[in-house]
Amino acid sequence: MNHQCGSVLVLTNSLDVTTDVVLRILAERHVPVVRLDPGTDLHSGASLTAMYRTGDQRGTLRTASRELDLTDVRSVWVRRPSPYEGPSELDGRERRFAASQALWGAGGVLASLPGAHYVNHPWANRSAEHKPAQLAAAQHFDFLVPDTVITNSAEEAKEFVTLHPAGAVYKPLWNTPYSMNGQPHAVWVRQVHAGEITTAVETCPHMFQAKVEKVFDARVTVVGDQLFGVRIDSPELDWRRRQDLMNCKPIEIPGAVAQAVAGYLRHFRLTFGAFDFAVTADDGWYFLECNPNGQWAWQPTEITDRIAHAIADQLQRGPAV
Amino acid sequence: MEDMPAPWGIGRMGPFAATTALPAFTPVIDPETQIAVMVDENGRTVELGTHGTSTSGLTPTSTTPGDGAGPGGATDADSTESYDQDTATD
Repeated sequence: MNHQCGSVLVLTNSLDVTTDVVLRILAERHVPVVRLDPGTDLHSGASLTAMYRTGDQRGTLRTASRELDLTDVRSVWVRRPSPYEGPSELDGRERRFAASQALWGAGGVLASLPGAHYVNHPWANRSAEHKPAQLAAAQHFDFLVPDTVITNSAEEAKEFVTLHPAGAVYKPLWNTPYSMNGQPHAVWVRQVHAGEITTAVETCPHMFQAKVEKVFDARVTVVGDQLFGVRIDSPELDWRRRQDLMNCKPIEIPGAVAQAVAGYLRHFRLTFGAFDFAVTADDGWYFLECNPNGQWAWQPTEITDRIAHAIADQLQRGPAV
Repeated sequence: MEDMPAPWGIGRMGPFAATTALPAFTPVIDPETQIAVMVDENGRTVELGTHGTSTSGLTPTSTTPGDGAGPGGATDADSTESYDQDTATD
């Protein structure tokens, strides 16, 4: 099989406009693309079949506009596929059964295409999403790491906050979709005071982190060995809350940070990563997190264009020979 | 277990400063390029979104700490597997 002639399989939902930026580049280059949202398409017309036997594996994906030989996939871009929730026509139990079969079946088939270059592999994404694993890898690869505690002890939490008089913040270990009065809510990073800590911390693990005395935030988007650094100035402690108020401009990335980034991504087997840093007055880059499948098209156009081209290059190139 | 309080972290939540309106038309995938396009009521094909810098609050390209964009707007931190596992275990 010749992967250089194979298709690029793109897994994402149909509202994901960031995907379209890269697909436009691939179309100009005449790279064949197959787009699929497995969590919805596979129960609304698309079909997926995989066959395995001694010494051989093959399969076919049929979508509304494509027929794809699964041995002929050069790259898989895992962008924003819909969750596997099962067909909405089914009742709760039947729907959950269908959803799990799709997750483990279709999700498994699409994650097990030998020789395909994954940007990123979905299971690598999943491993890299655990905050404790991120912090463990960050300190291992010599990033500056803010003092952090993960605990379900109210006493430990209170002590941690008290011992950081310059301030501490709370961050969830996972961003659970959550609505109040029908309105979506999320945890926005803001300062915690020791007096606010209650025994409700004991209901589940909570993460507290020393507040970094930052001068600005930085986002480093990495595609393969290319790094794209942006300085973010925002009036908010958590710049994500008001992206209309922030100011972004390209910034040089210190060599030590670039080196740590490379080790970190290798460790998690990631081709793409979106790193967030808090940068201090003496140019200390503190690791906040690395989102293995982070959004990137909100950055200034010249950066977004370069990232889109770097991703298109990865997808076009396929697996390393 | 009767006095189990709600997780402390829930008290740290707040609404999104801005949310994205879902498009009025269901996108279709262009058979040639696989780019999502919309066919409006006059049968005209238009591209789904504009790209690049976010200038007015939360856009479909924004980075978010959670799934706030409603149906179809998957979370920034998310991979499909984990979302499903977290919600389908009751």
